[in-house]
Amino acid sequence: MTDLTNLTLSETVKGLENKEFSSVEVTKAYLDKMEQLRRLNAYITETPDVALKMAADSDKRRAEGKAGSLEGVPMAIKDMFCTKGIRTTAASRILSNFVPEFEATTTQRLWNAGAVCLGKTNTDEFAMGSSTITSYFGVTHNPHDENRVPGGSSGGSAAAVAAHMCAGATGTETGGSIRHPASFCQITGFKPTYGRCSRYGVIAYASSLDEPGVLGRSVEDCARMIQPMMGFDEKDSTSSHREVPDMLAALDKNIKGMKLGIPKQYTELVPDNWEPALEFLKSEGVEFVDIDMPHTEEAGMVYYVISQGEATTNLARYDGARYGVREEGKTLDEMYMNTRMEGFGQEVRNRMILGTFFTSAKGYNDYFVPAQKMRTLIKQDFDKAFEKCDVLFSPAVPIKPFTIEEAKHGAAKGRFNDNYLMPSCLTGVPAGCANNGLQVIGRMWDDATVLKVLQVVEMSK
Amino acid sequence: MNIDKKTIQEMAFWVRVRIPDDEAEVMAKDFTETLTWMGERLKSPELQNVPPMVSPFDEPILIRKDEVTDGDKREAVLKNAPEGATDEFFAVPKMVE
Repeated sequence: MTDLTNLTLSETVKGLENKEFSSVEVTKAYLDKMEQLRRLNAYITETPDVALKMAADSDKRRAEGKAGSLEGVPMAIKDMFCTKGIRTTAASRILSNFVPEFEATTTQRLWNAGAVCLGKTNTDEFAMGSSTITSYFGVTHNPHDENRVPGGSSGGSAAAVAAHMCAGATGTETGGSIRHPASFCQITGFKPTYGRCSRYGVIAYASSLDEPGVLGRSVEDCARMIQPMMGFDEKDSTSSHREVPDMLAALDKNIKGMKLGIPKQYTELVPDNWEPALEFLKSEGVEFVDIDMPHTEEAGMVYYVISQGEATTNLARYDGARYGVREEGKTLDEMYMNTRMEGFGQEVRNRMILGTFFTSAKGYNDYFVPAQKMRTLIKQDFDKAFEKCDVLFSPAVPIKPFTIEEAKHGAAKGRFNDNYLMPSCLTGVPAGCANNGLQVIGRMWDDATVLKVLQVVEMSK
Repeated sequence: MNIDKKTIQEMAFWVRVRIPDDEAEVMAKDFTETLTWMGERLKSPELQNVPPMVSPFDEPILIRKDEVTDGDKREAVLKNAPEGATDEFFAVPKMVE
């Protein structure tokens, strides 16, 4: 038999449907691959026993004619999603012993659709970073060059997808954490509109920015994974009641006559495949529109203030009293202090300290609220752009993955690392990165069009 | 906006972490520079009369009735409790003499 891990998720779905192989067989193939490539450190926790049990149950359901849309498909879950009975760490020492008693809504929906859980993937600690170097469990290596980082924060998921250690994976975005590693690992990443996917059970970093999404080896793979994850959930107060479109049906490869806006601020630096992609898309019948998004430059600053302020609040809950790692102290305060000092890594501690300033009276009035006002202007840039075009098109991350050594010395702070990604996180619009590193950004709730265009972009290689 | 070492250490205490003197010194200097730079941009006259954007979410926030829909899960709640917990209680260091 051919190596089942070479199939895309979509091919795996079809192979299982046609009974060419069983879920147990394809799950075993992925578990073998995970063992062979353990040196990449893509997973924090592998769950072979759970996977084989879920695969056997899946095969039984299929035999009974009760197959879901992802029936029997082996997937990896970013370790920011709480999984019942499976350790969930957020790549932090403070949660290194935490086994949730509940399941995130989005992962529950994947299991309901028949997916199989291979394990939990590495990330920067509490998803704060773009390289996985802040993980308590060590850095993940980029499968295309093991001296380099996979990007982040969903770097473990991206590496696992790129190295065929899973058929597809979940990720989360706060400032670009799905598209960034997708670009670095040459795979596809998609984050839907804020409010499409429930945040219930996803460990919070910055609540007004956090968005669950997916990483796969093609746009079609991403469409199949995201479909069951989306939709209203009463457990999340910012979950949308809007009807969820059929994402697969939107993938008709016909983008003739569509208007693709190219923001001039997003083309200051472009990769080598940019010009050929423009030519290819032109031959597909699109029209390009020049777009000006004058507040793009401010996105990094707005993100800095808002994400740190919100993170400080969200991370207050980790006190060693009720769950997670505790470091003893003579008094309650001393216990809190010791626990948080030993439990959090330096990057997380630093962000909390500075976030405290932005939530203090002075910092709030002089910085946090003005940053929220600037966020409005950034959103207005998008509103105006979408009056002139159907989607925005640009490179995602126009630089090559940096080495692990460079990452340790602050390479991720370079401006081209995430300045094409952050504005769309601040505004909540849907966005995806194709497996050739080019991105498509859409109107609020127009998730299907993003994937439709992204699929054609992916054909341009 | 000038942030000194003492302010950094106060903020560290508020979030219940410690920061060594030398690190606090560096952080204070860097943060002061960042705040000065940001402060100028955030004083832009463009921001006058602009409403703050709190969230991208544009539907009414879901508010449910104040009714108990869940609960009675003592075992589950205590399952991840640190050492010292009993079947009924979390345990923390003694707070009163």
